[in-house]
Amino acid sequence: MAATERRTHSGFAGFGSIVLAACALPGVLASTAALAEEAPERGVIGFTLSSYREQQDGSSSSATASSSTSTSKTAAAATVSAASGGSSGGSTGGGSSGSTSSTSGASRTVDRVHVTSPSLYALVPLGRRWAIEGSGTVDRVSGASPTYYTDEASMASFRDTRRALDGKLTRYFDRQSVALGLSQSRESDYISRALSLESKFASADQNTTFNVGLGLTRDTINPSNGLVVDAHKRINEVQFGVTQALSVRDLVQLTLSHSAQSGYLNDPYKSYDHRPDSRSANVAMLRWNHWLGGATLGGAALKTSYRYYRDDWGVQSHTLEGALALPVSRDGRSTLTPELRWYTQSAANFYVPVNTGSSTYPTPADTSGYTTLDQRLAAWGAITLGVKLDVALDNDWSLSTKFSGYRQQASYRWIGEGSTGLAGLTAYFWQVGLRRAF
Amino acid sequence: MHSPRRGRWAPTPSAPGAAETAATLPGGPAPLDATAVDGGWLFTFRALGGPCEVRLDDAEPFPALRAQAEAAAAEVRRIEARYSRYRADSLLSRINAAAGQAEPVAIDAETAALLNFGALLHAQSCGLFDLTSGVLRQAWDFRSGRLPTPERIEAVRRHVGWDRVELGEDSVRLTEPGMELDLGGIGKEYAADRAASALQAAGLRHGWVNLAGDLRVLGPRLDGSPWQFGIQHPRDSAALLASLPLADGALATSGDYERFIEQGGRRYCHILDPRSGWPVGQWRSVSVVAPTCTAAGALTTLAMLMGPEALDLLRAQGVAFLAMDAQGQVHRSG
Repeated sequence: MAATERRTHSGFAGFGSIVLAACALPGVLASTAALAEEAPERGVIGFTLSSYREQQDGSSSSATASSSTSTSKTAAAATVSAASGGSSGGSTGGGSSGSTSSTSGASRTVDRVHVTSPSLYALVPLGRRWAIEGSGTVDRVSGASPTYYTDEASMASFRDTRRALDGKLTRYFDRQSVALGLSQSRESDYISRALSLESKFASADQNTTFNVGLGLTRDTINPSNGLVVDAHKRINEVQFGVTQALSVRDLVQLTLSHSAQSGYLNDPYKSYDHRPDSRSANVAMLRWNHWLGGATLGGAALKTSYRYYRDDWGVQSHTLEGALALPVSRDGRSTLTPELRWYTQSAANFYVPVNTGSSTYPTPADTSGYTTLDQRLAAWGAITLGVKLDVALDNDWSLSTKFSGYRQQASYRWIGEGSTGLAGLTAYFWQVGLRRAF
Repeated sequence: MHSPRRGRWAPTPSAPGAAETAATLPGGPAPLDATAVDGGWLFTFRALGGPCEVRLDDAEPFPALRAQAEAAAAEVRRIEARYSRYRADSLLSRINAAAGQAEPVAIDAETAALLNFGALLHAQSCGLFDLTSGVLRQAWDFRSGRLPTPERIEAVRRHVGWDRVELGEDSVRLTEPGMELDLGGIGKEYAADRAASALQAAGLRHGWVNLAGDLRVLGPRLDGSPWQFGIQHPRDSAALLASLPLADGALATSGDYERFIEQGGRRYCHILDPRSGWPVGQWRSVSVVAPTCTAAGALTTLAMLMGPEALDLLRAQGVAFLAMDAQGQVHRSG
């Protein structure tokens, strides 16, 4: 349309005085400046505060390994925010042994990890072709994490602060953009640095958008227990996506990605943890956003997605997600979004199921090959229920709040064998964010 | 595919019944109706005495499209509130109420620009286009089906005369009692342009605005193809005179078929020559495609008034046109 509009403007030579006078009336022709589709016109600055707290079910007979679940803090946060269960993030831990437990009525729970994260975000357009954005986050992590399945007596309490910075520079071309991103995350025992390169391009009719991405991550691990010193982990990832407008009300996106991890992939805080030094994973994700009909639902949007994950450790997972964005203001800019997510994964082929009925802390029968007792590599399922409220206060200010509850337990799984008897995990997450455009 | 849409035009901003409609509206503006149509959304509302439509096909969430359509409707209603003859509190009614008084009425830049455009049309048409000619409607009652007496026409024709309007930079004065200003021929068209520009400024590129036949296109369909707009046949309301592809610009049609009195085998239409006070008879209908609806609407009205020279005017103005003369012969540009 920009081209036809320009033609209208430059084609005035052929028109007579009446046409020219009519076109000169105030506000009759839109200014061409508003027609260009380029870098974001407005900058954004935002502050977000989020909190995550998890509790595992207390066992009736404590200090046995009969029911246990383990989730390290990093992966736990990821499970709630991105449903990336089964990943093994950098774990921290160590320190004195012990955990707090509380009893409420009949059910006893054991506090695990608590994370509080203030975060700052800024986006600054640089001219009409460039934009730079960045964020800084401080995670205050505390609590306890089990070293042997989720055995309460094996809980090691810890406290750490993670400081993360990331930045992205984007160059906009006609119907295309290229972005370079850099990020760094620092904990006392874990440093992660990542570089990303991403490009998006749209078809001439803007109905199809392609994106390709490349990500390189280089981590250095120095666990507090000194198990390894300056251990390294590398992740190389490629991603390809296509987004297609099927109709004015249906947007479908397919994303395929492949990642290759290598180096030190063990969790140094888990007992009997010995994993391969490489891991290759493929992910397919299908998203479908459908805007519902007319005046009855007031223009609600149904957002659904399915994600399939598979790696060469034998872990497979399915994630189904649905969210309904309901406009709650007349202008449609404020929305209330209830969300539901269901996740299931199978165990890694070297995961050793809980040996029920045996003595305390049994050693896995065979420790000559690869072994892990990490619950994140067991078979389990999880359900997340959440609600999000986005409110446009005026043209400049917007407020976003979110609350979700998360329940993870082995019996929710649809695929995979074993690992029954693991204790369930309940987590709560809330977030409040304020943004201002300028 | 999109079904052809009627290209229909009324020479005054308000069709018959507009006064009643305005009177029965309960307080605020009537709500905007949204209908999912093949490929997009059609928002409908009533304003300026007629049906109004906003079609938006941009691939954006419905709430965003609806919000923009509401903003466009609000712009149309703003213009109606300022320039409607049927609203006693409109700026236009205040100007008319002050006719014959010594003090001019203060006007803003927008009103001054519209009245100056009317002055230009008056000058270029040797007085055929006249913003004060709306007063002739007092003699012509098309709903009654009866012709006015020559004396009655002569009595109201005395109040017609742009020469007796004092237009300053920020004020206007109708120098004689009984004179009236009426933005027929440009007001509704201007509203269509303003609404469409507001939508374009919000980034919308695929759709159109149709105010009872005054039509302005935002841009082509989502796949880049043009819209097909039908132009009504002036003698067969069920038939189309032509179907016109449009990807941008505006279309307006003026015809003798909207309101008329048939008597003695002759059709007396609602487009009145300000010099005689009697209806024009050269053209059954004139459609014009121009960059803006205001230009297209002004030119169709001028063409209807001008008689045989109308085609020369349209060619000189460099616009595309389609006209049917009194004998039923069709004339096209190019």
